[in-house]
Amino acid sequence: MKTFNLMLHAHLPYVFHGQNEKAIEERWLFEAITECYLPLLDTFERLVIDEIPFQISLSISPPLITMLKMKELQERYIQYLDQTIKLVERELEVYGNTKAPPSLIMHYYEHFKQLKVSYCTKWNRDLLAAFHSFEKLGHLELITTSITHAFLPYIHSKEGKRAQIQHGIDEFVEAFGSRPKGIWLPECAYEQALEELLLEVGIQYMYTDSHSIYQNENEKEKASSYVSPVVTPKGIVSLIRDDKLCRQVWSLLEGYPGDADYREYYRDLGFDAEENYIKPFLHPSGIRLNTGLKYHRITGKEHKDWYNPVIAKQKIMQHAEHYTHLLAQYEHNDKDVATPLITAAFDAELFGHWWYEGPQWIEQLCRNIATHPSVQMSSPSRYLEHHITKNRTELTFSTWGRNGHGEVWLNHKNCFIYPKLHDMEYKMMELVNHYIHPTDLEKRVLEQCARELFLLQSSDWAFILDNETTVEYAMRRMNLHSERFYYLVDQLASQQIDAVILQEIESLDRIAIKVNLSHFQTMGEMRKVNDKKSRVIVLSWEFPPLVIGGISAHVYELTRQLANKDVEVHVVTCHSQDSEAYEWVHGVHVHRCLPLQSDDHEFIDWVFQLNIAMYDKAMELFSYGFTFDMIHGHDWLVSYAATQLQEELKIPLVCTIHATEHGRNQGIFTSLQEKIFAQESKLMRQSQKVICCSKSMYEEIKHVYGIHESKIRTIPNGINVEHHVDSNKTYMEDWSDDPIVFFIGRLVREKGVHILLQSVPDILAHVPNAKFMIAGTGPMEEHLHQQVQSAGLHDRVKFFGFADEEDRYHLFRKATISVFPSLYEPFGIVALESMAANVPVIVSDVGGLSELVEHDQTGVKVPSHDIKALASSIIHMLQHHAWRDALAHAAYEKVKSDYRWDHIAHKTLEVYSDVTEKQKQNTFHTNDDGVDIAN
Amino acid sequence: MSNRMVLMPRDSACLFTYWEVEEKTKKWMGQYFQSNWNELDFKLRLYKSEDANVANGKLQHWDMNIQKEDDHFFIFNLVPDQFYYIDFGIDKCTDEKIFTLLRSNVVTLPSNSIRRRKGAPAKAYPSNVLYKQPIWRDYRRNASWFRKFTGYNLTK
Repeated sequence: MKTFNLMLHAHLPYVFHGQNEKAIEERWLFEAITECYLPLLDTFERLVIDEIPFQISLSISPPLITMLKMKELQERYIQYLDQTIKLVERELEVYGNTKAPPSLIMHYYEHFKQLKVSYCTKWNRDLLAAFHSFEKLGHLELITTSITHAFLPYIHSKEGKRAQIQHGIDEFVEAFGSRPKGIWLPECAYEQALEELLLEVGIQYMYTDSHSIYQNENEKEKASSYVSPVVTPKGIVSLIRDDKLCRQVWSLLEGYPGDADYREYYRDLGFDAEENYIKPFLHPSGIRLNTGLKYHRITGKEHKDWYNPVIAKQKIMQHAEHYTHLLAQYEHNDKDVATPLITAAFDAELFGHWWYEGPQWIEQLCRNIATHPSVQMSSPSRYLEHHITKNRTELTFSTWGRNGHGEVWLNHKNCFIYPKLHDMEYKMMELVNHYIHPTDLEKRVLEQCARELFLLQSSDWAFILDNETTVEYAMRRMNLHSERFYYLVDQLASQQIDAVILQEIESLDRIAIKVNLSHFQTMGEMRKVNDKKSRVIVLSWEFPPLVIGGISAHVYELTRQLANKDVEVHVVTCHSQDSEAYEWVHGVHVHRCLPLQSDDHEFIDWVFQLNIAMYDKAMELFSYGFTFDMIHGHDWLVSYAATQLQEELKIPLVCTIHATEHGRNQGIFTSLQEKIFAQESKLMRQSQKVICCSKSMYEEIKHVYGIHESKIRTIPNGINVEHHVDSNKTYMEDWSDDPIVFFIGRLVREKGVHILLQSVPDILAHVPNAKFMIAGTGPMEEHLHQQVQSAGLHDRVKFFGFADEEDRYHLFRKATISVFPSLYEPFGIVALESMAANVPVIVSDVGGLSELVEHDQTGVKVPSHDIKALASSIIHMLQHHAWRDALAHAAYEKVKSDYRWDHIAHKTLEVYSDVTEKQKQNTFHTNDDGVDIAN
Repeated sequence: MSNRMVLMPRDSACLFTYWEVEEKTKKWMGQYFQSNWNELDFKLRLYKSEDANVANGKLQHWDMNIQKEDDHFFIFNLVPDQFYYIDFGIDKCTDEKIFTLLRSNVVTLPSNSIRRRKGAPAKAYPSNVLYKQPIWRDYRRNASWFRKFTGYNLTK
């Protein structure tokens, strides 16, 4: 038994034009009702009366659903019918201006009178209820399509596609009271990305074109092993249009509608009649229009004979018989499928409007199949209840347009549409994310924005531009919806919403009764965790798990303490492998960006590209309604983004300088150093406050960079004193009986590790069992390894490599003493870590280290570069157990009182408050040298 | 208008791309490159991958010179059933490098023949490929300067 599904897709673009009762385009709807929908309903009714067991699928698009329900259009349709009937009566009076046979004119007179009775009396003007009644009887299966029949693959965002699909389903539910099981993809445009969205709304099946399986004639034979339906990887059943069976019907050249005895569409009284005669029945502007009175048959290319409905009827019978025979002879070579669902899908308007005899052909086809021994009709749902679809396959991007893909909707005639469409699409998402709690009026504006977007997304406009029919109208409509959209956007922005104009627009563009704005939301999850007093955006090139220098740990600790103090913190940082693009970490929003690199560029170019990515992320947050009170940039690596953001958002900028290029290199010598110095200077000058971690940094910033002292704040780095980290690993177990000298930090020259290694022989001469652990990575690693090998110290000195938080915690607690022989050190956080771990420290008397450690009280200071002094101090400390314990204890107490992170965060907040206060008072003035004049 | 680069499949051998650059971005780039935006040269770079996760697979790319006033392009004669994305960048005029300013979404061109035998497992593309930017290659780790990077600057 061959099972056949006939699918009719009824769609028109939304063409209601408000009070403009003479809008030409509304006649598209009236013609479709007259020539297609009413005749189809009458067809179905006759079949029911004769108890013919037919089953047909019918998709009704949401714009059509909306227009069929509109009272204004129902009224205007009756006027249209009355006008047509008047014209036919006039024809009968004068027996045709064009001398058509009286019997033909009478045919039309009876036909239109009957249509009016059908519409007004039988169906009570409610065609949706009429179609629904046939579904309830089991003869139709109703489905729908996206809200305005958009070409879904060319909507750019997931949210945009989702909104189209979900609203389409909602409109269907509103009209028919239940959810459809299937969907008609507009233009049969399929892409794999749609499947997830279809599953969200409970869709079980969809229709796709044959191009989803095969591309060309040669493939068709192979494709017969893929009979319809198939099931996709995500589990949606696809009913594949049979190419041959469809072409037999829709093709004007090869198919039935081109038969010489069928009615000629392109000969209409509206164009054939003399102007004065037809004028009262035309558009007031005088434009000639189709009247529906067509007296000719196709005949041949030039000459057209009079149409003869009786002869046409004979052809209908023949063609219906032929098609039934095609169905009965359908073959495939898929052994696994006993009963395929042969699928033929068409625009419903083909039947009756383009092919006048179409509804009659459908009727005859249903009658033929009802009595045929080997063919039956079925809806997809009925078929799927009784058959399991086994053919699992990927489908490919495809449409039912010319050449099977996107050519009709994307070519040089219409490609200009998409930048504007996508811009509106993203603007809509931006608006919805911005207005989290809109007022009633704002909500109405947002909903109407969505409607304008939907209407612009209709695939009809690109189609019209491609086939160059009513181009002017399509352009006018696109401009209209775009203008209305941006007008409404401006109204929202200005907070002066004109309710009268809003109501007028709402009354005109009435698609989508209920707009669900949440379909456009992208940042809902992020919003749920916010309700703080102020909002700060923190720019830091590194953030855990990306840990290269000291900025990462600093920003991590500071921001989570700020988050505890009623500040909503957004950290924008560099991408890290295996980390999410967005995370909420201990109350802090973390956004990770990856620079758009494609080549191995210079370092400074990579930094700039990272900054562009960070800036874009910050602006994206801003566009979604995250208004920031403060920008806090950490070090020169984020200077491009920080300064650009400040100029754009016009909010205060605070920077923390963790170290300077001048200090690292003891001067500026190379072009790269000059560029970095320039960025450091710009960042500090443009900031309202500059935070540094030590007095030595303060002096450096003041004297080398020329920043006025009133602008600089010294806030030390902090430390977590009481945290504990568990571990399953073992550390330095081989050395458990030996005194261990420990270093941790970046293996760069300014850390002075090479100085420490040079002191080792001297230390070993006095403390033979001393061991040295060097933890960290960096550019000097290889050099230091070689230094150890050359000195024959490889059994006394070990390199741990990169130490994460867990490693650091346990390494410190295994160490006997810590040594930090830095040549340049703005702060020296590792010294604080050692002190917090109760490990006595020996440090170089430089920079921040010198301020952290009180010599012989909380640790030992030695001159930098002094190998002998360093060795001597290490030996002394290793040999005097009680003294070093006292140093460690005193250091621990100091750290506990002065360097807690909540204390550091509190001081940082004071800086923010100071800056904000001055901003409010508008007393923040700096001269060109970055001098705070107000202070 | 926002900075945007979009890539759209038309058929199994043709892609369409358009791009938009905001005025403030043009000004910013001009400041960085110390040149008027209109005096810079631009290129498109099209990438092709056999792997849906473009960060992992072998990437091929082609550069296309464009006119300053260009803002969209149809690209023909492409290989079907592959993954593509495209960059718009400033031509650095050295070693064929471009400074990428915009990057598009990833698209796959439709197959032009039946590839899959019946019964063979069919694959579904991961959602992050279809919508979001997949994880791009992290050029930082492979950069010639990476080993010298201290976290603050480049060591000598």
